[in-house]
Amino acid sequence: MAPLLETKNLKKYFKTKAGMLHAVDGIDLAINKGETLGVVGESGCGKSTLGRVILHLLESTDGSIFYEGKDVTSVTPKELVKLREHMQIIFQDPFSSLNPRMTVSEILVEPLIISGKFSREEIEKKRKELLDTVGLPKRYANSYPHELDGGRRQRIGIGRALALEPDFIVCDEPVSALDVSIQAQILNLLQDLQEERGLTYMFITHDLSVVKHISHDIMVMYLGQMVEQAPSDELFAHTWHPYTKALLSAIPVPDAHRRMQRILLKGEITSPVNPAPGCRFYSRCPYAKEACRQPQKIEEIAPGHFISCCMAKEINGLG
Amino acid sequence: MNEVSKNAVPFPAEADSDQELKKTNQFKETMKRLLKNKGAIVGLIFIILLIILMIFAEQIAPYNYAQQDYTAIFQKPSLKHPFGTDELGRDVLSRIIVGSRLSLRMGLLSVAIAATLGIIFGSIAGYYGGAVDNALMRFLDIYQSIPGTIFCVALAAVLGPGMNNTIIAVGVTSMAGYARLIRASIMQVREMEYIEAARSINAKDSRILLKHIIPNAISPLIVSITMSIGACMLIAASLSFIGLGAQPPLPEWGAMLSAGRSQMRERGYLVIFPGLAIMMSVLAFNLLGDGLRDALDPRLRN
Amino acid sequence: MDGTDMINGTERQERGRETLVDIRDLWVEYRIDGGVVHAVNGVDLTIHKGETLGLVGETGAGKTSIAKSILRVLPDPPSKITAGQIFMDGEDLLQLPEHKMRRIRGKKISMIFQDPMTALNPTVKVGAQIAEAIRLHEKMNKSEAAVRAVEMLEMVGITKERYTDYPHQFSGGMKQRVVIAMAMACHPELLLADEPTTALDVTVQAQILDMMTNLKKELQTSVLMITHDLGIVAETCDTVAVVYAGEIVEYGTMMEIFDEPSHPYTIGLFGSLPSIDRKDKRLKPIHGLMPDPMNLPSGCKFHPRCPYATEECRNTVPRMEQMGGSHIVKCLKAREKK
Repeated sequence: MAPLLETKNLKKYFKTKAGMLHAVDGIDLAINKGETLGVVGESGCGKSTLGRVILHLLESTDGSIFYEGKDVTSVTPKELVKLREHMQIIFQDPFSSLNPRMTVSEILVEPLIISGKFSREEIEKKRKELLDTVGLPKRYANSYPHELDGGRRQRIGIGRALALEPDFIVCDEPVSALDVSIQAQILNLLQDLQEERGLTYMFITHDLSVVKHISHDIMVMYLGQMVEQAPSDELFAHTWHPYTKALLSAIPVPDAHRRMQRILLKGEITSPVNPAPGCRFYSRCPYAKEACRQPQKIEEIAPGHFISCCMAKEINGLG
Repeated sequence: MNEVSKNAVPFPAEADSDQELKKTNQFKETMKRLLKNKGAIVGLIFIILLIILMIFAEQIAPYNYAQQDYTAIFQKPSLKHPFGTDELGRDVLSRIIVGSRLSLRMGLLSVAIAATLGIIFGSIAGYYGGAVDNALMRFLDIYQSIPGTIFCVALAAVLGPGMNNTIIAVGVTSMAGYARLIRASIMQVREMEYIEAARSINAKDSRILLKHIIPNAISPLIVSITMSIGACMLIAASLSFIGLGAQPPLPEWGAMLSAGRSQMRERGYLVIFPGLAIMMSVLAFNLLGDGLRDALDPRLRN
Repeated sequence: MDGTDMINGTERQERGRETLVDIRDLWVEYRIDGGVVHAVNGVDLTIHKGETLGLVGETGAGKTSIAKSILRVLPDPPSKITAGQIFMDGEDLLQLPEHKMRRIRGKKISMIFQDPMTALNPTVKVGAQIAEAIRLHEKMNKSEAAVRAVEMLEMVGITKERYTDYPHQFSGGMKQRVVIAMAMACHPELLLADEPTTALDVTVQAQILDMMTNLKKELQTSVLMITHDLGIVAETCDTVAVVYAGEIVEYGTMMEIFDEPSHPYTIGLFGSLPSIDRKDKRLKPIHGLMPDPMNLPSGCKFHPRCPYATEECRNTVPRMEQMGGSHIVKCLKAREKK
C-alpha cells in the first residue's frame, strides 16, 4: 500500500542572529492511510515545525513532500487551496487558536464559507452535524470561546479541522494543555473519528504515554532529526537509541510498585544553530564515543525499526 | 485566581435542555460591563450632557454668546449671570455653552485625523513587517523626535491661525502614537494561533486582516482614542490660549482662558469657569476610556 | 530513585510520625464580580516531618489556594480565608501578626512555583539573589552569605562559576534549580512546591525531581508537592491527598492510594491516564467537567459526574470514611464498594 503522506529528506532552516537554525533537518517519514504516526520529542526538537512545513504553513528549505504519491512540495496558490481541503491541523493551545471575537458556529463554518462551494442551507446542515460530531451541546452554538472550558474549546478546534472533511490531520499537541480527565475525553474523540472516517493523523506530542496510546508508528525526534522510528509496540518493546531510552525512563510512572532504572541525562536540550555534523545527542549521551562525531547513518535494525546511532548495537549488547 | 476563572463553566449543565441559545450581542455585553464601572458612568453622563449642550447650545444659553452689554461689564457671578460677564459684558456661561461646540469639535476632529493617519501607517507597518515596517518606524522616530507642542505651534503658524488649521496641526502631530499602538497591537495578534488556523483553512489576506486581526487589535485603539479626545482638546485649548487657535470673538474655551488671563487676579471667574470646563471634559473622556479598556476585553468577562 | 526510598517511608510511618503542619477545617473564598468562588471548602490536612505530601487534583481544584493559605500569601482582596486554623509548632499561622509571619516565610516555609522566571529578578545576578534571600533571615555578613549561596548552588547541581550569571543566561531547568536553591537556602522545614516541573521537558523534569528528592533527604525537609501528574506522585510522595472542588476526597499513604483507589474521582483519574505498560483500546475518562466553583452541586460535590451516584449522594454531604490504616475517603459508597 502506498502511504498517504510521505516526506523525503525534508528540511526547514531559519535564519537567526546566532546563525542558521536547523529546525527540521532531513526527515523521512511515511504515514499509511487510516493510521497514526506519533512524533515525539522535547521542546525545540522541531516536531511542530515539521507539522507546519507539511501543511505549507511554513515553506520547506529542502526535500520533498508527497501526498497520495503526488509531489506537493511546491504548489501554486490554487493547488494549495485544494491541498488544504485534504490536510488540516488541530492546535495545541485551545485558548489562542480560536478567534475570541467569533462564536462557536462562526468558527466551525468559516472553512465552508471560505471554500465557497456550499449553499447557505448546506452550511447550516453541516454546522449542526459538526456540533454533533465533536460532541458540543447545541446551547453552546452561539457562545464565544472564552465562555467555554479548555476541553470544549479543543472540540471547536477539532470541528473546524473536520469541516472540509480532510483525510489527513496534523494534531499538534492537542491534549497537552488539558487536564487528565478532559485529555482522555479528547483522545477518545480523536480515536472515534479515526475509526469512523478513516482519518490519518500525524500526532505531535511530548508525552510518550499519550503517543503510545494513540499511534501505530512512532518517530522520536531530537534537535531536528529522527533518532528512532518504529511501530509503536516494537519501539516500546525494543528500544535501541540511547535518547529514546532516556526519554522513556524519565517518565514518572503512576505505579506504586514499579520503578524503572532511570537514566539521568546530563544538561538540557540546546538549539540546533549551525550544528556539528555528528550525532546531535553527542553532548548529553552517556555512551558518546569518538565515532559519534561523524555524521550518523540511518539503519533498519529490525523490520520497520529505524535508528540513527552508530553505537546502538554495542549499547544493546549486540556489538 | 487564574485556575478558578478558567474553569468557570455553568454546572450541572449536561442535564439541561439542549437548545441553541441566541448569540449574545457583543456591543450590548460591552455596554453592560461598561456600566458596572462607576467612573465610566460618570464620564459617560458628562459626555452625554456635553453633547446635548453642544446640539442645543443656542437654546440653552441664556444670552447670545456674542451679545455685548456695556452696562454690565466684568460682573461678578450672580443669579443674572451665574458665571459673570467679561470685558465686553458678554455672559460667560453662554459663551462656555456655545464654546463646547468648538472645543469638542476640535477634540473630535483632530483625533479623527490622528487616528486615521495612525491606522494607515500602523497597520501597514504591523501587517507587512520587515523592511516596510522598518522604514515607516524610522520615519516615525524622526517625526517623534520633534517636540510635539513646538511642531504643532510651527505648523499652526505656517498654516495660519484659525480653528481648522489647529485641528490639522493637532491631528498630524499626534498621529505617531496611534501608529505605534496599532502596529504593536497588530503584531501581537498576528502571532496568535488563530491567524495560523485561518491560513490553514485557506482564508485570504484580506479576510484575515478584516475578520481576524482588526477586530482583535482594535480595542486598545478605541480606548486610546477616547482618552486622547481629552488630550487633543487640551492641546487645541493651549494653541488657542497662545493665540494660534480659535480667533476672537469665537468662544473657544482655550481662547476664553487666554482672554481672561490679564484679569486673572481681580476677576478669577473669567478663567476658572472655562478652565473647569476643559478639565471636566478631559476627565470625562479619560474616565470613559478607562472603563472601556476593561469592558472591551472579552477575556476579562465574569 | 528506587524502592529503598519508599521502604524508608513505610518504616518512618511505623515508628510513629511527627506532625509538622496541621491544617484544620480551612475555608477559602474569592469574591469577584458576580459571586463568590468557593476555592477551599473545609480542608483538614496533616503534613508530617520529613515527608512529602502530594496534593493531587485538576486545574481549579483549590490546590494552590491551600498552599498559599499556609504561607498566607493569598491576595486579599479578592481572596479571603474565612475559617480554619493552620498549626505549626503550636502556633496558629493564621492568627500570627504579619511581622512574625514575615519571619516564617522563606525561613521556616518557602514556596516554589511552576514558572521559575516569576521568582527571579532578571536584573540581579543569581548568586547575589540567593545571598540576599539568606541575609533576609540569617544574621550573616555579605561574604558569609555568599559562601552559603555557593554551597546551595552546588547542592542543586550548579557550578560556582555561574554565581555571577544573570537569570536569562540559564535554561528553564537551570532556572528552576536556582529557584530551589533560593527556597532551600535557609533550610526551611517545609517546602511548598507548586507544580515545580510542569513547565519543563521530561528529561529535565527527571533531573529536577531526582535533585529534589536527594535535597529533601539531606536537609530533612517536609515537602507539599502540588501536582496533577500521578506519575510524579508515585515517585516522590509518601502520603497523598486527592483534591476535588476544594475538598480532600481521599487521603492515605501513597501505597494505599495507588493500590486501592477508593473514591470514584481517584479511580476516574487513574482510568483517564494512558498507560505505557498496557495497551488499552479506549481510555475511561471521567464524565463531564469540573463544577463551577461559584455554584457547587449539593450533597457530594462529585455526584453529577459519578457513575455510582444515587439519590442519597445528591442530598447528603459525605463524611470521611476510615478505610483502614491512614486511608480515608469522602464517599458514601466507598465502604459498600469495598
